[in-house]
Amino acid sequence: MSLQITSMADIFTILLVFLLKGLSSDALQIAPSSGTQLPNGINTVALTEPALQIELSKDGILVEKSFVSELADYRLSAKEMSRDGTIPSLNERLDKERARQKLIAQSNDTVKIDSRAIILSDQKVPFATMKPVLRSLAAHGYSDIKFAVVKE
Amino acid sequence: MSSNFGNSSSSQDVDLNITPIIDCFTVLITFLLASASFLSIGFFDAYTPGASSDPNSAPPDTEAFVKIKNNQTAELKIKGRKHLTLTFDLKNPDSLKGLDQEMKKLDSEHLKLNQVLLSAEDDVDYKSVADVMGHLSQSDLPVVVGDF
Repeated sequence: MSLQITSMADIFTILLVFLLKGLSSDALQIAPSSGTQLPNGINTVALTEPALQIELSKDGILVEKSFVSELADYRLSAKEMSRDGTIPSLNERLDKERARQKLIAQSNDTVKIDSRAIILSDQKVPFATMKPVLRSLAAHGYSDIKFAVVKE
Repeated sequence: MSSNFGNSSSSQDVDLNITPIIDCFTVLITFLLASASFLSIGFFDAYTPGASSDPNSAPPDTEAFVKIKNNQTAELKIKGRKHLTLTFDLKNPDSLKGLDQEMKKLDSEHLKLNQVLLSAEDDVDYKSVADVMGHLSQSDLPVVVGDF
């Protein structure tokens, strides 16, 4: 008895096409780092365009997956905050991001200064940590905020 | 799998060996399944203070505030043309349905209400904020998150 692998090849081809299609249609794939648990949410909307990603995890604040500021058990220490209620290290990173966007906008008319930012926050992050992040974002012209949750 | 090429005098049987193809497919599928993200992420639209106010728009005659408290309750306060203060228990889904209804009612009452201001006490976690944002999304009003 010989094993018929032609039908198996057919199944594998269909699976491969399906997986590759899913991969290509999910160009705006956003995933938090391992260990960051997003809360569940109802009545959510889909993301149509990419935006600056800010992640709040147990140990730190990350901008575009690069570490910016330290958190101790989801909380900011007093030394990480400035008097105006913003986070200096985050401000510095946002300044760089703005400068990069302005440079691109100067040479390309179709690119505009982006006011959108995505916040990927662990469900245990307290509002006390979120407030200075929002203040820093507002101070740098990021006014349109998308809060990421897991769709229920 | 076999094919005949050429005429009868020079016929040749070709067998396509699909075993290496299956091997490649197995590796590719395993890789794609391992790297695929099965989490479906959704988003809540919100604004930082001062962002959504259009200087040319008429000033609102009503203001709506939602404050989430450490004791897992959310207080909806409406001031202006309509006065109302309601408290919702975040642990009780039936209570939160009341917030849905209030938001829908605000939409239908034709008040000059530009936005809903959402704030929380310092120890309130993001899970509770996301819970309330989901219910506030029942109305078309923009949600402004900050320290009010």
